[in-house]
Amino acid sequence: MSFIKKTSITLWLMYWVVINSVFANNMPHHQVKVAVASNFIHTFEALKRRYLEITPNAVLTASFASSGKLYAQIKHGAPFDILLSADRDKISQLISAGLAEKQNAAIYAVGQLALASSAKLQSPQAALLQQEYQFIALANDKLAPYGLAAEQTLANLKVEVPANKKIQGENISQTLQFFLSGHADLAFVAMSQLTQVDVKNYWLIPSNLHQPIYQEAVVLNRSLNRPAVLSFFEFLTSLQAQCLIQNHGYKSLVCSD
Amino acid sequence: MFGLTPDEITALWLTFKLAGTVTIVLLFISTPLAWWLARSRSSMVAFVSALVALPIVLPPSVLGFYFLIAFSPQGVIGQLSQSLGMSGLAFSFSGLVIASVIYSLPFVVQPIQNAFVAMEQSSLEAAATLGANPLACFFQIALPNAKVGLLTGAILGFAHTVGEFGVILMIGGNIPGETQVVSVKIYEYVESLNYTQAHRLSAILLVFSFIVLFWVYLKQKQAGLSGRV
Repeated sequence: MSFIKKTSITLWLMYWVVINSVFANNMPHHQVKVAVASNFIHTFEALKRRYLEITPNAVLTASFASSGKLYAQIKHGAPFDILLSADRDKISQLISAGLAEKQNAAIYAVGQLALASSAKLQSPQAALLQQEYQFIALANDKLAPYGLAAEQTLANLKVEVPANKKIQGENISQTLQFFLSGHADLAFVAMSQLTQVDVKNYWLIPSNLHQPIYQEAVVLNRSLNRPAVLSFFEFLTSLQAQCLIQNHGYKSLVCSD
Repeated sequence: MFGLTPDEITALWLTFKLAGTVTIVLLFISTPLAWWLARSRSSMVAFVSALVALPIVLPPSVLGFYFLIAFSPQGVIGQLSQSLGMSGLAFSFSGLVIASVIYSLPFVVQPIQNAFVAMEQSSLEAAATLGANPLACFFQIALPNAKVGLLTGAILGFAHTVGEFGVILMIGGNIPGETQVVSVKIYEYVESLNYTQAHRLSAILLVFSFIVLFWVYLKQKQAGLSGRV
């Protein structure tokens, strides 16, 4: 084959690939795009499986990131239909900015905080107070609701952690990663995470030690395929979904099991 | 200063301290390494070159992940540092220095290596013929001639470390004054929706980076015009 012929075939192929990838719209029209706070990854996957069992034609795609990042993306036009935030603050800001629907907002989960420990916890308070650990990991309280709850817990227990012993994960997943990789002896993590990994020693923090971690969801104004979007949102707040969420280490305002 | 909070000044200072330390360490490691890569005919050259260039290709998430494992009390580097009586490396300034040295290595080695390669063989041979020992050849002829390469390497290493983010996010732990550098601070501002503060710190980094790069390219152009490479 001549060089020119080879080159022209190659160029034609490249052209075809580019045109196809730029203009193709392979997404089905009934797709629902959900933006999900990263602490809810595993639970969302379970919810999705259950939802697809009862609505086989549904197409759900999830994007996982921190609530802050998802909020910023939505403010700048990200094509999401529903946001599952890790807090209530961002939802109310989206509603007052006219980007989300006030009538379609609901608390879908209440987070539970746990203190994971590499050693057996005789008395969690004593472990916190004695400070014989090299590092204690908690999520950044400016970014993650679980980090804020951890700081409130420490304050209520009158424990002051020296700055050089406190390592902050940017989110609750990274905080758990600091613990699982053996760097931190103690870590404030989400109870929902501990249903996923094998951590033997932990203390479920009593909920009176911190403000409740309400995780709120909302339907976004720009959502296109209304029936499919509202159907999933309804499922999210249904009794069966709420009890599933409760089984994954959260509390539910609806399920009473 | 520019209405910066003490936190932000600490983060800026820490960033430049890290970049400065890393640049000095890198110059000491990279110069002999670049010299060997440029002159040696060993078959190991290709292997070492590939190893040095790895951080250009690997995502910071991969590097950060490996560092996190290696620095942990059960990890290779973690055990080594403990046996030397040092405390843990992760979540400490020294840990960041080690990670950044590896992360920025190719950006310092490659310009120096290019300068050594471009150097005229004849002047080195002439010096050797006149009885100069290899060490004298290196310090009196090679190094001064590679001045621009060394400068470019140093500046790029410094700038690249200032711009480091992903690796530090993974092994830093966000400790103010120890591991909370400017890029991580900006990330925290953006994530917590403090866009005003994020803008201010970002603008400082933008202007700084432009000035550094502009200066490097200006120097390179001047050196190219005057015939020195």
